[in-house]
Amino acid sequence: MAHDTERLSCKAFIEFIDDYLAGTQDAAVHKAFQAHVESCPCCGCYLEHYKKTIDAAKRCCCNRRDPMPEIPDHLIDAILEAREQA
Amino acid sequence: MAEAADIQPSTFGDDEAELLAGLRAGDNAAYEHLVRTYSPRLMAVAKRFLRDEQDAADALQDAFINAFRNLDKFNEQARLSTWLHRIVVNASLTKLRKAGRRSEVSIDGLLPAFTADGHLASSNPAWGITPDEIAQDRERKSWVREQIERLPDDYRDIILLRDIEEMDTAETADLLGISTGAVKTRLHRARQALKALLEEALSTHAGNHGGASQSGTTSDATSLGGGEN
Repeated sequence: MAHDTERLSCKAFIEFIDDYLAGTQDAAVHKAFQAHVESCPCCGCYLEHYKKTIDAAKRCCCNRRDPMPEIPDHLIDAILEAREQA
Repeated sequence: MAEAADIQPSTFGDDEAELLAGLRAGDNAAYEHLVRTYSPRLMAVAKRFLRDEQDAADALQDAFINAFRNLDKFNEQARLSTWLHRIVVNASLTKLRKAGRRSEVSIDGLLPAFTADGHLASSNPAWGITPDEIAQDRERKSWVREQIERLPDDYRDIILLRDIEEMDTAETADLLGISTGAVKTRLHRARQALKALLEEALSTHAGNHGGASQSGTTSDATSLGGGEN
């Protein structure tokens, strides 16, 4: 989609968030993105919450502090037996 | 990749090369070591995709059988843990497809609304809590997982693949059989929808005292969780 990168609307800004987070914005878009976030508190907040959402999902679903599931011996045995048929 | 990259064979040598040599030589001890060492973290991955414990166990078994069959195709430049991680993700997705998808629900109401001139139509409610604080609280952590589960399957899966399992766009596209462009679009929509769901959950349950509700969020989020899935 073509955008006027001189001045982004909030809608265009939000469309570019993933490119921003991935570090794949081209220079013109990055400049317009930064200018927008500095002048639009709503989008600044939106960006912060978007990042927090990704962070929270990651931390809550894949936490190194969580105990690993215990694997019952019968499942280990079944996998090793299945190897002979593989 | 998420956790699997940290797995190290603990007793079969200091690196994967020795284990791999044992596997390729058909050494039973090497196979048992592989299964015992890698199963817990691979099971954790399967359980993130599959709601049913037995389905996760089946996916784990399917993944190892697939790995045994394709051991000769393993590229030694790669890490065994990375290779096994991708295989168990694929086995979990296959299991999900066989189990049938939940009915799809539109997430349009969870996406931001804009005025005619392209400005955000409403402000974001304050979170009042950091992701780290959420992750340290068992109940709040459970809410986050529940919100991910409320997403329609295609959106839930893309969050799991990209943000939780940390697979790249090309890998995700390959696993899902869609274009990289479709992965990017779906991920962006999924993250926006999850953001709205988390904001709703946080403002309802987590003692969030600030900010206005995002336009359209509450009613649509409720309908997502209410009997349509």
